[in-house]
Amino acid sequence: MRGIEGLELVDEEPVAPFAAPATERLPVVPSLPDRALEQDEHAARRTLRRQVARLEQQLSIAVADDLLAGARGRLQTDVLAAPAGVARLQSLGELERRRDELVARLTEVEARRTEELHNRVLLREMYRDPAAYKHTRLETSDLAERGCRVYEVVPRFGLVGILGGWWRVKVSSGCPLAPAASSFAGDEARHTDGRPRAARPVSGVGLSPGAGGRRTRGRAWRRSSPAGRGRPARGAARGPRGCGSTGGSGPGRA
Amino acid sequence: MAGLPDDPPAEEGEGPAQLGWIEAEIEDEFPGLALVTVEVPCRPTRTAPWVVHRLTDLANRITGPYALRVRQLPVPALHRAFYRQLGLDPDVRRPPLEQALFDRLWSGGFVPGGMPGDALLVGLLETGVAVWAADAAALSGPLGVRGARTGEELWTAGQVRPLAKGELVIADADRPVARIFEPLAPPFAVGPTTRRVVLYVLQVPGVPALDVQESLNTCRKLLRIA
Repeated sequence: MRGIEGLELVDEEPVAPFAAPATERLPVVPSLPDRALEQDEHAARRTLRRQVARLEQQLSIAVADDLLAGARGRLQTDVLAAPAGVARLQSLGELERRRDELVARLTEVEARRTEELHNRVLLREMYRDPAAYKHTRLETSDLAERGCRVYEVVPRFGLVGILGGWWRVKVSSGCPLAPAASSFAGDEARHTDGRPRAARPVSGVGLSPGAGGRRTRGRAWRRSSPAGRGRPARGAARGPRGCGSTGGSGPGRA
Repeated sequence: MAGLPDDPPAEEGEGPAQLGWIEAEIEDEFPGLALVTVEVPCRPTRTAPWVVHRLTDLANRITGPYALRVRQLPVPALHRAFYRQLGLDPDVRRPPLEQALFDRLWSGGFVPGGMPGDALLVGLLETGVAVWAADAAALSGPLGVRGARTGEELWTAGQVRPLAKGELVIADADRPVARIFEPLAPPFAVGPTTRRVVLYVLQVPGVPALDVQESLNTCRKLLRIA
């Protein structure tokens, strides 16, 4: 608003062809008294600071409530915030940006809550009629729950289930094991993405991708064991245990 | 610089609690902001066993749910709001109490680091108000809050770094001492040769004076006994 009143005082000059745009040639115009402007701006900043404080409080409550309820990922945000700078007095524009960021964060939290509510309803429906939600997959983070469970609608007995229309909700529980530290695991484990390498199968038998299961793995150990007693050799890395999943294959399952 | 009215009687060698100066522009924006300082005798020593015991008790009280809920408590919430108003993100650069709780959860306890640091930590954990200690011998004149000027520098993490113009700093009469809400670096940090320290608290707008006094008195008492 600064200087708008004074624009009428600018003398109109005949605009020459190919002259610079008129806005660039505007002289400095008299404006409202600085003191009044400062007071207005000061009041606006005060109002914005109050809004920022209130929004921050609302966001803190929302985030803390969600985290206490077990919702993961609520601290992650897609809102692009201005890079954290240094502590200084903020101008009017900067305070507005801060306020808008907080509003966007709050909106995002509300949107996630709505989505999670929708997902909970969807899970109920998946249990009620699995065939209507084939291959639908929900994780606990989608439901704002604790743990690492995955709910997935899968056919019973693979192809038989698909042909017979026999679907069920499979719950996979347990979190993936933490990868081994490379400094302890050595080069071999490093090449296997941090996991200890399983006993190497004899050619023609053993661990084809997706052919998980204890019998297959046990056979591989038997064959590779120098003693041939069905146990892995001492020091040989074993596959990860205690993942907690019922069925499935490989250590990387949910 | 004026003595606070409700200040308890100072022990021998202790100065009265005083209000530091605030630059006019900052005071205009944040009328409730205050800097409370007090000068006390202090020798850097090992932490006494009973202070270690107190720290352990405090550490045992801190749980994950408490750390999550702490941002809703009045004093930390005011700090978070103040951080936002200054253009800081409290989720990135944590306020003092949240940082202390984070460290506790990260390391599994409070490792005693010697006095006066542990006294300041106890004061922070019990009241939520952070206290910092500056070597009185390195300061010239009373402490205050102002914006950094062009070309000013500050020791941070072992090296001199320029301050951004307008950045809020704690300063003495001559030069900036520390960024606000950040620990001090040499030559103002407490060292082996320190004999007297200036304890200061930045009272964020809205924080009750009672909490500020309580925090300062806790530190003073611990330093006095130690």
